[in-house]
Amino acid sequence: MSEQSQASQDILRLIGSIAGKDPSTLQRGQHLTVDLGLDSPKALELLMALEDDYGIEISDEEAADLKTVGDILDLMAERSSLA
Amino acid sequence: MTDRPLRHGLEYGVFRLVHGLAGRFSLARVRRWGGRLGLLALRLAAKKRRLAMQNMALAFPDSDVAQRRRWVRRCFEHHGSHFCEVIAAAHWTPQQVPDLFTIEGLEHLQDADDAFGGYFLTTGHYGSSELALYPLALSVESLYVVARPPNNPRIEAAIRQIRGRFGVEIINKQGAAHRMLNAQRRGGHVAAIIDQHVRPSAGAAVPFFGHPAWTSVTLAMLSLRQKVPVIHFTCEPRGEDRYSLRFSPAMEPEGTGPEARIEMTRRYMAKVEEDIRRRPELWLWMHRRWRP
Repeated sequence: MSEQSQASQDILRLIGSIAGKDPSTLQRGQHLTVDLGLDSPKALELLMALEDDYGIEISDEEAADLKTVGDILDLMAERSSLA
Repeated sequence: MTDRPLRHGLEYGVFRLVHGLAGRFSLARVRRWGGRLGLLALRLAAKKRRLAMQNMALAFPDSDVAQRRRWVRRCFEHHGSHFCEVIAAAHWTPQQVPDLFTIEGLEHLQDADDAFGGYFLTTGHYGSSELALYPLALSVESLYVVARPPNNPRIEAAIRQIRGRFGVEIINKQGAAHRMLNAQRRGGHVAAIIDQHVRPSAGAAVPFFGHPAWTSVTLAMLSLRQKVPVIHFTCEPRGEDRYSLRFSPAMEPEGTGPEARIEMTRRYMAKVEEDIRRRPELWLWMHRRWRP
């Protein structure tokens, strides 16, 4: 497994644990609120967990653009490539 | 672009009318007129009146019907006054504000800044909470307020402009949580009101007047995460044209995890309840607070 796909798996596990879903069932196109039920407190929990686990801060603009599972994977991939 | 141009135009017309009149007359008179508007609403809004009576019966089971009727009447009167005073505040200048408000407990803000490097603020839909923004903005560096913008875009723009004159930054209630976190990180002081119903998935059932009420836990999550306290404030009308603003001692974050969030939120709501028990007529009773 490549480093990037391992990182993606870790992020999917994190999303799954907060959304209460099996990570293997998560799809890039799934909407965080509509499909995964990540309502306000859970969405906040997810963002805070991403920030804590990866040592980053997510800006208001970045957070506003996070609509789907794929958006999160893309943001984290972008952040890790910039690191 | 609005999808209700006629209604929004009419509402904005009323807003401008009250705004124009409020600038010509004393605050005491504006408050009296607002009270009369509130009493008119009491007669016309039967559903809201009944809801307020039901809520009061739930919260104050030992009160009699006559007492609750008096409270509901004064509640409508107060909120009518508050509505007009908020519009009248568009004419206030930063120089006027200190004369209008008596402030107690300001030292709690400085203490929290010194000890924790920041704090969040909270209150209820109680008293003159909307007007408290003005003395707050003059007392607190970099103030952010979480608010749901009015549906009418023209009124929203007008209110935004009024608040902006005092340097108050608005965080849209929709998707506010992470913005609140970032504002606090930037050294901002964020005020949020959490005493209204939220969907069960967006909060926790917290006792309020002895009955479980779904309440947002966001403020507690942020307080626990940032390790900064929450300071409750209370703003009430005083005399015929003055206000009192009190800050309570800081509620420090304690514990971790979901239980701690609920416990912290319970403490915030207990402060709101304490205010309401002192002057029941000042809370917004026309809201379905105890939904299943």
